[in-house]
Amino acid sequence: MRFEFDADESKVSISAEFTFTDHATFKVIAARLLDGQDKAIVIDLAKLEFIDSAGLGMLLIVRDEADKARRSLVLRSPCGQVKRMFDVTKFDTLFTVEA
Amino acid sequence: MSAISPVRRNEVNETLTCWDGVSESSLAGALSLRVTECMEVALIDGNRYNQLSFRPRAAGCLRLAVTTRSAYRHKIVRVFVAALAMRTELSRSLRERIRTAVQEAVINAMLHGNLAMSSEGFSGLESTAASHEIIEGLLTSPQIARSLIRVEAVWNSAILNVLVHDSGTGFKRKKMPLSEERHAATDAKSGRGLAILEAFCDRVAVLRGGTTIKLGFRL
Repeated sequence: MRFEFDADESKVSISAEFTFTDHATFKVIAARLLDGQDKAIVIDLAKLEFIDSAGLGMLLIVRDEADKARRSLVLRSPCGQVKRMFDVTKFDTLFTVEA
Repeated sequence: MSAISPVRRNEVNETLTCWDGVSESSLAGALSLRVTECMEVALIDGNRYNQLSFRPRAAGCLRLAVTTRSAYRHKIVRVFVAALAMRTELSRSLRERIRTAVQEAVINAMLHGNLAMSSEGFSGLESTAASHEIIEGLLTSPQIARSLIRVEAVWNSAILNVLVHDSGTGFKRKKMPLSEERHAATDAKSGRGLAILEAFCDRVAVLRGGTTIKLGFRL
């Protein structure tokens, strides 16, 4: 998994793959996102090529942490296999997902 | 040891190589085109080697045997499915479905089969970090770290089956979620694996008391 933050630390673009094996990298990403102050946290998935159920679970964990801080989490531009995983698991009903 | 070390060529011209367990690129090398069977070198000692003698088959096949430690550290499924795609024609869509389903099966075999971890430990940031610390602790035990996961693909012109075997104690069917539970939208941080398998495979079978899962794909 690779990632790139915007200057304000509330938006990150993640790319390549997000699987169980990427837990340590995602822990770093989550900590930085949750340290930010913006009301909305955005994770851009446009360049993410593959996700597994563990990756989905980690997104839910960040959503819950954002809720606790009264912030919102937006998932942006899932495509390909990631979009199909969202469809199968009905993720669009659990998140704000922007095309 | 080199990543590619042919150690056996049997009577049906199957070639076994060893993987050094170091990286995904060395695994890709060990799964080079003429190979039909690859075993992580850490699994090769007297008894384990004998237990791993596979039956020769006439159809196309590719078999991989890895330790739990390596399944935890490396994206072995990505490399395995890429090797599969070099041996039999797979559309982009089919390759994606195979990768997705086998990934779920291998993570399940590692986590719930060989490591006997429950899903509850992955429900929050702190508990997930703690669970990974527990896993690292478990992997300091040679017996657990070297416990076996086998991934076996067998195909003909019509169907490709991938079997994922673990070394755990299996599970009871009663503990599996009902169909409607599997397919409901849920906030749970885990438990989606079976629904994903059903969505991405043409056929799913749980065998050997839950220690083997068979994933079928029409070609």
